[in-house]
Amino acid sequence: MSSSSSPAAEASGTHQYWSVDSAPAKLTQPLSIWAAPAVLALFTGVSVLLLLMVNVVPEFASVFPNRDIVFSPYSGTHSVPLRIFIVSFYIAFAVVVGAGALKRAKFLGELIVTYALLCGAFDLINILAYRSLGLLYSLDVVEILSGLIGFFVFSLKLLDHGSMPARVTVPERRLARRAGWFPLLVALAGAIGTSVAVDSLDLPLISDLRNVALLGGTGPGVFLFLPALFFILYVWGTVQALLRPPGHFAPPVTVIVPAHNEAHVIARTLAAIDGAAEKYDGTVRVIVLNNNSTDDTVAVAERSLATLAHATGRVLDVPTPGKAVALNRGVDEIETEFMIRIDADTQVLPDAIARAMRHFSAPATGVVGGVPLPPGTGPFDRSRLLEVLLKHGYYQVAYGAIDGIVGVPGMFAAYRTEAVRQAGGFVQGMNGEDTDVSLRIGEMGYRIVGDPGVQYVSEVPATYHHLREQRMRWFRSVYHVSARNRSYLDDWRPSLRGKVILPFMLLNSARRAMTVPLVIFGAMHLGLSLDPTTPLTGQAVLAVLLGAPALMGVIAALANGHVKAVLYLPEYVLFRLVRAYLTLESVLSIAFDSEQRPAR
Amino acid sequence: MRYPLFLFVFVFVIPPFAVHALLTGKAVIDSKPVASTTLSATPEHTHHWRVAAVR
Repeated sequence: MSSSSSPAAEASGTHQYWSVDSAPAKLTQPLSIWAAPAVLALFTGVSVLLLLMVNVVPEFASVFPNRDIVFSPYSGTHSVPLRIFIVSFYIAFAVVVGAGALKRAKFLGELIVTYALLCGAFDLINILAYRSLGLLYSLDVVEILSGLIGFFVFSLKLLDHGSMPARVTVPERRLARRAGWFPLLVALAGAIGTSVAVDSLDLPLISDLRNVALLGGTGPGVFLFLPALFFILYVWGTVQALLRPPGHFAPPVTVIVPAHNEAHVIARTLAAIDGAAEKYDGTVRVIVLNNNSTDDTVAVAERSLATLAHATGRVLDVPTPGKAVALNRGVDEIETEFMIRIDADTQVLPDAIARAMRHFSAPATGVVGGVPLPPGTGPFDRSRLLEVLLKHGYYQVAYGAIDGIVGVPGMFAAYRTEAVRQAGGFVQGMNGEDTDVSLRIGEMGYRIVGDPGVQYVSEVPATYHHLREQRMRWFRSVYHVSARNRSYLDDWRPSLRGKVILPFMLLNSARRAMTVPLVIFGAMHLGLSLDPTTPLTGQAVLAVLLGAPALMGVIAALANGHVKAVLYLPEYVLFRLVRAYLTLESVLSIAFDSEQRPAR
Repeated sequence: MRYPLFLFVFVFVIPPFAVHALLTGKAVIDSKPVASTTLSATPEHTHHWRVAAVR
């Protein structure tokens, strides 16, 4: 099922994309298109005031000689005063977010107090380390750490104060835990070693990078850390796949296709499944789950199913609106040991089913996902190609190396049916039911596989309104999934997904929400020329814009054999900025009712 | 808020960064740590905490 913006906006002839899953009731609130601009305007005002205070007002300037809210001794200078940035964003966000004055004040108070405590503790440790050992950190390193802490605190407090699905009991572990921590620690050490080695090379290029570019003087070492980490894990994951090729395995499988107003595309989707069934040695049964459609979905699907040559199928009516409702009804009907869910706007490539099912020859495999390729005809398709190559063709393989894959997109996902049932099926009434079920299956001990060779073509929004609806839904899902499965994050079990991957995703989500403000802040800091000791603000802003993911995008494109996709990098950089703005809108659309709502 | 949530910051963010900074010269151990009294008495540190640039 696809969903979208104002239905009226789609009256131009294309199908409607808006559904009940676009904005789960009680967890989201209507969002004015002016909310995000209001945050940006307010943020600009607050940050100018704070910058002027620490730079111009003598009383404050003497207390904060580092021109940021920093209390301990550091060497050097910073590119951007990130603590002022974080506090300014907290204030602007809390003022605009849709909640009562008291709730907003409480939210802001907790944000600032938590951030101040963490930064204060960090400063105190540094003061003690300086006085006892003479240990002195460079200010730009401390600023980057302060930024990361600020991102993390924002997401945690949003989880606490926003309307989120209630915490539920997580399913029991059923298979022995695999050692994901060891390869992670080895990769961390390798990434540190690689970036330090590059940083210490005595080459003119490295010297230039260190002094004038990329993260404003922190040098290629810091810049290379994350790319090196993911590259090591990607190589590790690829080698694992090569050393342990899955054997031939073709059991009977049932494909469920939830469909809400998909008459325009369902015939193509079913024909593609038939094409994949031809290349699959096992039997393929299809169940189209008609979910409250008001168009000709049923008639078109029945006609198409009748023409299938290699698969059999039927249409099942599920009148209650909701994709998860339809999926669960489909799971109830499944009699095979394995199942695949495919979105109605997704066409699998001919060898997708055969290739995905091979992985279930290993008894521990619970979920298999692939790479959703864009059709290539829309305005966002080129950027989307780089995005999926990076996320699904590269990061997923890297996460797979440490058995840390969290989400397999519902566009195409193959499951061990029993694992889905043990995980409680697909959750209703929140965003991210696909991530939720794969996370729970993974935490039960099953292996989640991301195979870049399993490919399918999935619809990409053709309009900004549709893109906005889709991304707001997707970006909220990390909060919904984390809130519902919070036990993985905050109990004491050594869950790699719960203690490292999900927190990293939360931190990254907040980082994305603050990217546009950060660009504004950097430009303003540069324009105001308040601090002559920080000549590298422009480079820092550029580094935020381009960032390590741009470098990794190139690696991902080349690693997946899409050499031409490298040419789409400039578009992708701009797309990332749009995506960042939509993340800000997404977090603003989270409701602020303190009562937690049980997701069913 | 339960404490294990902060493990991420205190175990997986700050320590790798700190080690990385040490190895790349972004943090140094001064061979003669400044005693607190000296620090406050030094004119350079009287008004603020900024100390000599290390890089």
